[in-house]
Amino acid sequence: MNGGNQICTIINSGNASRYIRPAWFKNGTLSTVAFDLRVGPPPEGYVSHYMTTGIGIECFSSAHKIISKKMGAQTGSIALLDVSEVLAEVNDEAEPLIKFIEQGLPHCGLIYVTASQRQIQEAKATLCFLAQKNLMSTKDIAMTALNK
Amino acid sequence: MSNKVTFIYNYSPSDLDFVNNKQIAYEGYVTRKHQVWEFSSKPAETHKNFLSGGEFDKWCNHVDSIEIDFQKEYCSSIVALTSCEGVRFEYWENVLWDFTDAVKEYTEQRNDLKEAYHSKISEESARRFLFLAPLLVDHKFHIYIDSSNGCVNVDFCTRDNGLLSTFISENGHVHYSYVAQNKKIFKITGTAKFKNSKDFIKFNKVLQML
Repeated sequence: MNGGNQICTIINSGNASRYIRPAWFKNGTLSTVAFDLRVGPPPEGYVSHYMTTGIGIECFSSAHKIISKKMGAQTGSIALLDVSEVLAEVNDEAEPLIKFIEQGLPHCGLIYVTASQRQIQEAKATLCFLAQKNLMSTKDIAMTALNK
Repeated sequence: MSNKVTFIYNYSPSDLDFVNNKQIAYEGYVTRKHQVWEFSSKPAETHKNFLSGGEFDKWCNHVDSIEIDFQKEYCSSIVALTSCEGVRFEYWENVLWDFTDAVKEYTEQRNDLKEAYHSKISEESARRFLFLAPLLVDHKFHIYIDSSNGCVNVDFCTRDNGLLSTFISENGHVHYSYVAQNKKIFKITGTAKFKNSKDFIKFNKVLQML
């Protein structure tokens, strides 16, 4: 987490969107590299997500607008994660493995609160599995918005 | 699963000059992988023989003996691996090339950005990946280097639309986690620990989950 003495608000619900690069897909499966920490520059202590609103395609469109504004036009995909579902599926041990924290909404960060590589690997695999269940290409999102 | 089948082809004079309406029987092997039937002229047993017939041990001895050096361009020490005597690479050399592609991509990223931010590739993690390499040939996988620690990761897709993710640590432990859904999402997570390079063949027990 950046800023050792900052008080960060924890997020327990809502939809967190993550931009998925085309290179993160191989053989039709999303790789765990999609949930790796970016080492820099500058190094990050969290995996960037953007909180989004709406239901179904509206949620994807909202995420697409936010992500395009922050990152410019992209050719990959957007994954939507239901934060409460993700926390329930990943944090199934005595101590939590991940947290979502505000980083200047709609920007938020997923942080790994465990140092165990085994636990981090399981968390990343679960995140990938969940992300792939609710994923849409930016091209399809844009086309759907145009057809409305 | 592999079944021996016989295909009968009819060749007409327009296809081949020296064949005149001849029936040709072509025998091969059909294997079902990932819900797709694939035809191969070599039996699946060939690779099984590779693993059990001493070639795997020769491969491990060779990997144990080499210096793994990622400073050289195009991973010349990795390319030299294919000169290992007594080992047939034709069934699984694509695994080595996928690995060298991953190393090359990582090295280029590391050179583009400031080196201080990307960890050096862990040579011990890479060495242990090479022990495992022959086991990966029948599977669909993605190899990448984790930039926070330089270790090799391999992700596999499973027959049931799940994911098996593996992380090869510097100390030789292979952390794996298999996530899929039956009635609910389930996970099978563990760590494989091998004290002898030739024991890496037992990682096949984990890969059987694919």
